[in-house]
Amino acid sequence: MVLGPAAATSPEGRALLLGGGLDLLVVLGAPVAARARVAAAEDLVSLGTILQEHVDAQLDPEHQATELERARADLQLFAYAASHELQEPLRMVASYTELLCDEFGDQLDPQARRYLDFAHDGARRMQRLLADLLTYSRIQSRGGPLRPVSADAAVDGALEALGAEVRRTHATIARAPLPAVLADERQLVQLFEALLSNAMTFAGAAPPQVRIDCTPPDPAQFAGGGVEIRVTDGGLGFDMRHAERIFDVFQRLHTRDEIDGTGMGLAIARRIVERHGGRISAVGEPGRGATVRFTLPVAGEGP
Amino acid sequence: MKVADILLVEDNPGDVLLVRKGLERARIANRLTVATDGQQALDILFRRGEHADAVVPDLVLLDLNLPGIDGREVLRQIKEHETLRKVPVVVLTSSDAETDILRSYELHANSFIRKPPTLDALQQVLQVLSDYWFVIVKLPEGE
Repeated sequence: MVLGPAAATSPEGRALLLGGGLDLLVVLGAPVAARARVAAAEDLVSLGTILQEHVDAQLDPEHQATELERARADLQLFAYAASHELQEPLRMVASYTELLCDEFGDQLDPQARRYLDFAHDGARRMQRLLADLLTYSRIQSRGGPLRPVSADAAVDGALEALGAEVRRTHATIARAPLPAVLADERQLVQLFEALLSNAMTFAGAAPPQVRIDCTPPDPAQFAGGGVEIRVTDGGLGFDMRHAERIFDVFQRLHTRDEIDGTGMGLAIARRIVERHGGRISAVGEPGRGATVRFTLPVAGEGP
Repeated sequence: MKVADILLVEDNPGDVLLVRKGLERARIANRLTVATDGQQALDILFRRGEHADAVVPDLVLLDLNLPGIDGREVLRQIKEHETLRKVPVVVLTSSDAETDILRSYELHANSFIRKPPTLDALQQVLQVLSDYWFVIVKLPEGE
């Protein structure tokens, strides 16, 4: 194809160049100007080729598979680093600030004690955050197959793990019978742990009053289909404007002084529920508490 | 309860001190021997060279990641040895990676414990270990 000098750099000309349909480009015109235009046109052709290769590579399943593998390997490396390499220096800081306080605390100025407490708290918070991050990142990769599991037993397991917190906060937990559901047992316990811990954390000043129930409430109606389980607390609640946001990672609606959470509990809960094919949502009112509800498939016959 | 001979195999001096403190606070009567790498641990256990008079420990606390000969190799050699294999070996390590846990039990570790995040928690773990291995459990007499 032969183009006049103006055409080579016109939109149509550019489109032709990028389309890669040209074998030869001859530009007519004054030598100097033509050379410049040819150079510009050649640049455009190279750019077109590069762009085309890039697009092809992105669409090539093999390339994608390699990229995916690479990303997965990176993620695994990060997860291992988070679980092992990062824990060690943190353990040193948390333990030795504790020791400093225990053995030399009375020799320290109150202001120095305060600095030390901040340092220790920071280290402990980071430890909890890393642990939650790890839990979150392992929900998919370490998830087991879904089997009939007693939701009541999972609540028992969660309450056992949270024993110290329940005692410390003098929480009362009211429970209605729950059905057997199709779930990964370990994750179901984790789910209840996250929600119950959340309920106790956001209790406000009064001892937490938590209720666990479900719809439909009648055991006879459990067979088949799904069940909606609800965890309700009478605590700080939240503004419904934030109803979606609260399930995002690291979201905190309260200051660190009010609440000592890692901001991961609800994100973990959502990830687990979604892995089980369910949905999760929350309703709340500031000062009047909140209810987190989620659906799970009911196990056909008993476990 | 007799004084327990404990061999701690740990290269991080920070962790060594924490175990000493933890045992002290939990009031566990013990003689703690520390090996800071795998080779030293094996020399002590097999009573080689300067360690010819070493006592066979009642319990081994073993970190997995050691310079040179690593903890997994130490574990393997202990559990393959016809007399040393009866010594309880508790892996006490930073990692909780599934591969590490599996490998440890495959090599016949008696238990796998992830190092607790604080001294207070470590003290509680050591208390439980002491109660379990030195009070509740019966270990064979002599060597």
